[in-house]
Amino acid sequence: MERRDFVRWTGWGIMALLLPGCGTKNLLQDQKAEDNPIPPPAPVALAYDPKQLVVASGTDPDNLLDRGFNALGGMALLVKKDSLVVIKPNFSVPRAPEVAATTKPALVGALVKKCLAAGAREVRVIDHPFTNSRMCLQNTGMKEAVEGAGGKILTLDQANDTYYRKVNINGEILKTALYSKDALEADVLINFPVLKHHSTTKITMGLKNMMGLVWDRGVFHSTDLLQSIADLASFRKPHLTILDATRGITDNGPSGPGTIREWNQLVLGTDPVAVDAYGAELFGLNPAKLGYLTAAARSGLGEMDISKLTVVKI
Amino acid sequence: MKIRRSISTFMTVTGSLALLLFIFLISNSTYPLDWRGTVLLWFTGLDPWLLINHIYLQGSIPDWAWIAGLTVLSTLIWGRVFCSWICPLGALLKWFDKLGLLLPKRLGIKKQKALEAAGVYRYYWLFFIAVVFLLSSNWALFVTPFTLLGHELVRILLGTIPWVIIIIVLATLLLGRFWCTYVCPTGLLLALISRARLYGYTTNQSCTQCGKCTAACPAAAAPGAEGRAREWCLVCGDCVEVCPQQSIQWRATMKSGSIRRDPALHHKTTSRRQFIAGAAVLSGAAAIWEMTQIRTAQAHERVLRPPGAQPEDKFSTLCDRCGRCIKVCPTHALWAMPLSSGWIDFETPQLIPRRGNCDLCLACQEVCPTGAIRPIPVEEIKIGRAVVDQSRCLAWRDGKLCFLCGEYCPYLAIACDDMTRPWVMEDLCIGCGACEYGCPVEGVAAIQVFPLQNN
Repeated sequence: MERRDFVRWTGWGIMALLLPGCGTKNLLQDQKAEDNPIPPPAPVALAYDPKQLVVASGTDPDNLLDRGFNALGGMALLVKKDSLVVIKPNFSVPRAPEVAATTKPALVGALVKKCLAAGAREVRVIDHPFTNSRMCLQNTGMKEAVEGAGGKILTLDQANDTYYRKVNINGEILKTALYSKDALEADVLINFPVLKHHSTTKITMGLKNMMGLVWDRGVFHSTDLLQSIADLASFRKPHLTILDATRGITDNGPSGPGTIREWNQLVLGTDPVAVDAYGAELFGLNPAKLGYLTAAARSGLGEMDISKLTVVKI
Repeated sequence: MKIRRSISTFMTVTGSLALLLFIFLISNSTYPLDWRGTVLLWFTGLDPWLLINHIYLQGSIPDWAWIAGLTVLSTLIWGRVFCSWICPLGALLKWFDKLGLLLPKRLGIKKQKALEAAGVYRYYWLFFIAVVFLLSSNWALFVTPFTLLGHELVRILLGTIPWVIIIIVLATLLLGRFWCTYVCPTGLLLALISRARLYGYTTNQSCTQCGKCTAACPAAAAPGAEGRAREWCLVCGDCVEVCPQQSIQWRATMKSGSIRRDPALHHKTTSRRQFIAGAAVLSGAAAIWEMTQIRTAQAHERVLRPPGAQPEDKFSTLCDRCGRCIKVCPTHALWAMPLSSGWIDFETPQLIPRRGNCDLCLACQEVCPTGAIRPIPVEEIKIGRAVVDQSRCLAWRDGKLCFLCGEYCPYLAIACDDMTRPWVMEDLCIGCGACEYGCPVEGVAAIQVFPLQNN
């Protein structure tokens, strides 16, 4: 090799060494929340009476939802034409629907269909399962039900800017979080939890279900779980909470399998605290014993005392 | 001429289709596997080396043995048609060999001379492989076409550099199909079988010994000199195409009338004495090789294997490092072990629960071609056992409300008291690592899975 060649190739080599790192950008976690303006939630929630809880009894998914929405004042008040509807059910564990550890897929499918029939542009069903996404999508039957109804289903299993945005939560404990972009963009956000036992929080319902909209949940546990749940729930209120209390596990939660109890009820309301309080009583637990619920009520998110609400049983 | 050309084209097409199919199968091996897993396994079963390994190391005949039998049978009749018609690596190297023709006279390297000179060592190499194999190492299997190409494809898909295939491809550009004729254990085995083949390329009386076929042959096996193609002929048909006399024909090789011996060639064949000397050297080398199979203790004691893996000593013997389990794992729980953990464990799969837990989908069992990961029922699986480190646990040390390990545990094998302080019920724990994965403690988890044999 000639000296000239040697020098030339060394030059190219050094330039090539400088290439790694080009094109990479800083991690989402390291971004500043202030750089991400949050779109204000669409004001459709005002359409329904905030002091009203609707409790529909029965087993048929379509029928339950139909009667529930009719009692609230009709779905047309909530889902406007060309709106983007985001539904947050609980399919965070890879269990079959019969195990009763996830929201009943037939209910979610029926809701997707109704939203589309009401004129929604798109219906997205999202969760950040704490176990393997692929298995959750398959085993819970959620993918089949949602896609069969014409909706889109997503698992928020990567901390990228397709799924998340860094936002200021400004809670007592929880200050910032990577929050679901879909939930932020939604014209209508419907929280669709299942009523079931939970080993650390006793029961999981609507407020706890919102944890499936953020990336890092470890920080909840290493600080103060109950207050963090309340902080997160207060950050952004879903337009409607529908609690699937048709059936659920009463022990071995959240993963199950456990003892299944059937309540055959669907609880609908715009007040997330009220829905959870009702669910707790249904479960057989005093709502005041749920730390996250009392914390949320204290911060003014909703009403914990059910006697102060109109409960419409149908 | 037209027909011959079309046969040659047909071969290129089947080979390329096989390559595309293989790439499709490897890149699409995702959970759930359905039919793709079976097709991939059967495709891989065409390799007789895999069958020999299975029979020798596991003492049983697998149900796909007949597939490998087809390859052997076809070789007995037509020579190494497997290598040019079906082998995906062969197809890839064929394309790069042809691409090499575009280089300015292959950068001055005398391809034919190099291939001829290396030819002597062909069977030394096979002998070396055989000795290592008899010493119960499946090392040769690593470089068989399905394993090697699969392994490199997995590397590409996982974003690491496939340096082995890069080296082979670059060498192929310069040297033709040296890999297929000198290195590939499957190829050498088939070449040996091919000595008894019924049909092959032969020259007839019109041959003028012009040497064009020899120059064109990518494997230094052209029939020009000897009257018939050598046993390592890849049946690619290049010689037929270049022959100006149209003297090369495809016919029964055993018809002695068609074979014209060139006495000058016999000077080049190895004498028995040389062979024995070489064999002795190689046996020694193989023995030394075996002695390098020492494990680094710390890597070994901590390693968790995929669900259904054979016992540790047998596992590293059987695993062919194809990387399919690593590719298919839906939770990215499986990782190739680095060289720093010792040669013997290099590139074998290990379960790292902190990066992903095992959900027991058992897709790794479905894709494993060697049986290193056995298809055992989910109830019998024991990967390891979880142990809580109370000095680091949020609930035990700080009194925090955390029972994530228990929430993640799919087997309800972790119990807790009123303060959510966890402990593991050892008879229920199977070591899937969900707890270790879910533990919110920074860095090393406060609950960790350890392999069973060390406890």
